[in-house]
Amino acid sequence: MELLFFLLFAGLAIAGAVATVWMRYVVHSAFALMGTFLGVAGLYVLLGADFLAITQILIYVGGILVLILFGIMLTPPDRTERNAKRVIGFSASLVAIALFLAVQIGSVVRWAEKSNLEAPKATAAPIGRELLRPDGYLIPFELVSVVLLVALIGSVFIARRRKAVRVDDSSTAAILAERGTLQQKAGA
Amino acid sequence: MNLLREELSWITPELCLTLFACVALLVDLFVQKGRESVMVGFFSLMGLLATAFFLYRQYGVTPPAQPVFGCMVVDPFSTLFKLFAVGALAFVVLFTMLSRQTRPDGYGEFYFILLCAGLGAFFLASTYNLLLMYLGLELLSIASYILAGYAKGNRRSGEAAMKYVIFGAVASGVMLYGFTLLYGMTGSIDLTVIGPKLRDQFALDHGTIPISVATGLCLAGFAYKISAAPFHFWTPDVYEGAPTPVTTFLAVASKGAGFAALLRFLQAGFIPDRTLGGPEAMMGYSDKLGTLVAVLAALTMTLGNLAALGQTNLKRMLAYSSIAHAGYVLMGVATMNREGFSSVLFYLVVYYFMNLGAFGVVMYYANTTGDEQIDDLKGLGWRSPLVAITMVAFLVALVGLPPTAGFIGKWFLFTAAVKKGFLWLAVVAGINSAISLFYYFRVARAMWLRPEEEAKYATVHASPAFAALLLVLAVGTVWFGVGFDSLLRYCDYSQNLLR
Amino acid sequence: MLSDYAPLLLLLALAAAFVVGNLVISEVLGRPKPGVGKKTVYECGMPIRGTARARFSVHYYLLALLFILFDVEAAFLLPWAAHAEELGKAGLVAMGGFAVVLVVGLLYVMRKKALEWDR
Repeated sequence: MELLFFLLFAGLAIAGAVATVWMRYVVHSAFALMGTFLGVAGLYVLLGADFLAITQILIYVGGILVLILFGIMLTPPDRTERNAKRVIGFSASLVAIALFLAVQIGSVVRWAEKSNLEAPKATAAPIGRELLRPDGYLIPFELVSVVLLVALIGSVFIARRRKAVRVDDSSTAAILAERGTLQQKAGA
Repeated sequence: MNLLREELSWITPELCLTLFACVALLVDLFVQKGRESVMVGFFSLMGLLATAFFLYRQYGVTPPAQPVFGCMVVDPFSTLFKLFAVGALAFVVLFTMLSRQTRPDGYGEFYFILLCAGLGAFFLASTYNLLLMYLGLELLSIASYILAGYAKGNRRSGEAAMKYVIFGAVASGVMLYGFTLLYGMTGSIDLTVIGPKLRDQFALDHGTIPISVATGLCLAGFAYKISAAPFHFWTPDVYEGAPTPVTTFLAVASKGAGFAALLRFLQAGFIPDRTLGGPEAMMGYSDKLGTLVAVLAALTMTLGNLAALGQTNLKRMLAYSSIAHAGYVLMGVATMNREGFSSVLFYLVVYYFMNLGAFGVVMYYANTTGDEQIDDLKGLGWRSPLVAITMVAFLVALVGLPPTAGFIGKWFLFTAAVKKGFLWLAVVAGINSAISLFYYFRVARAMWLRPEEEAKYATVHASPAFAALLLVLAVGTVWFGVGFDSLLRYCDYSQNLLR
Repeated sequence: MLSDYAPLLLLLALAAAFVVGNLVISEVLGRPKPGVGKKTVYECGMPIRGTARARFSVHYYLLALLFILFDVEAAFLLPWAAHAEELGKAGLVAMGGFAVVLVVGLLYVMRKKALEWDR
């Protein structure tokens, strides 16, 4: 029974991934990506990581996918959507997949041992405890807040409307005006 | 509670840096417009000074036996890197404050993001925990992406940021995949635990493929950060497009932190303690890894030097030169022994001085003229002799000629490589150094050997403080070339890494 | 433990069945009445002008981005909030530090008027 669900979710994730790469229109790719995220969330559930599954849906589908769709919405439409040569793309993907499978089977499978771990009943409490334990993940946790802050500041800065005149290609082109006077002085 | 307080005392530099970064940001928000850039810069400098003070206090004290908070390591190695990261940040902040550029949006956020990038570099250089290493790397990278695109109206800056983001995201993903494979193989994210487990597993004869795959992926991520071939393609465009203070930071602090993490990764994971003995297979694997790194080093050096020969833009040439220098440093990393790593540390310190100086001169010059072409430097030697002299000092150090520290640094790297048996690599490096002479001296020729009448710009004036900073760096370059003993001893001492 | 998810799966299955079922049943049982107007895009009854891709304000994107960042913060708050009493004062301090850093971000957004679109 569990195997059936594993195949279902894994299939959804893989189909979504393949569709993301192969779809003709970007918007279709974005929705296929949603399928991948949902499939991965299902896999988390099967692994017993319930908190992670919820967070996956909350953040990836509810946030990142929305962000991707907004990004698609804001970029000018590509008149030549998906005009890439499909045969080349197809064969390249096959080669990449074959290499990847070889690496996986050659490395991970050979090393795997059967684990006899019991999945925990619910994972939100242990995760909370570990995140805030000084000897556990406290430092990475606090560092995450700084990372988020930097991303916040940076994105607001970049997206803010600039009130000034547009400058052209020169890293320090605010000096353009001055350069004019300098060249005058040099008598050039 | 006392234990907590003691552990907190070990991370005071990081706490201080974070606090001052947030304070700088708040100052930017609540001070009236116009004055905020100077004030924020001032606060950033105070923060850096305080951080340096705390670091200096940790200088001679014996490090704690266990990693602080379970994941951070405070040892001479990390203190050295952090001190030099603080120094690099201070120079970049000073250069930015002294440059006469004005931007309508001001530089408030710039200093904040720069300090946070420094924080990321701090964490990257002082941990054996794969998760914290990745987080530090991400903080450094994300801050760098934003900084690279800071000049908003400038198309090249936006292009630099785009290329950096895409390349960096893929490289981070690849490296994270390698980390997860390592975790899957050994059940731990602490390199000090992973290392012995890998060596044990070798005895169980699982073959080298799993370890090779994981190591290869991780090395790819590190190679991207230190701009080693064949993962260096982002460097010229990003260095050229980003605002020059940002380029300085990237070339110096970001690369240094990447090397620090790489050294720790190799040290803990793959270098067996030869006195303890161990499975023969692992010893051989360590040597094979060294050979791989040596090949990468040769490739990096050659590509960087050959590409630099054809450049007309000063920043782009310096970008390729920094790729070549990453190759020289990798030569030391390839030795995979204590002496080699200590020469790596020495060269990184020297490299800080040289590159801060060279990019500082670029900033000095580009600020007043808006120009970055090498040929347009002509006549600079006669117009601004002091700056031109310091530039020559930096160029000589970059080539590796005595009496500068560049010569000593390269000497140590060469001897370490030869002693390990990489004679071919030393020869390649020597040839490359000779090649680099050509493009470095093209700059000097433009500055001095063109007649004064051809000078493109009447005067290149900047604040004397700027020139004073450059002078300090130039003096440092020469000083370490002559009095290198103490630094070398400290680098060697730093090798007593916490295991 | 996995059997705990059975109700959730039932809910998903019913929702999917409802949607798909309605479409299928209307396709099968309905009388076909094709018309030119039925296949075109709806624009309040008017003839269509231009494509659906209009120029949107960049503030939408900024809003979505800020949403994600604070959403991630909420996701980190969840495991703490579920068992705040167990984690005690130390937990509160640690989580407080996390939240304070992001409050600085919120202050920044407010002061820079990043979410006000009309200026």
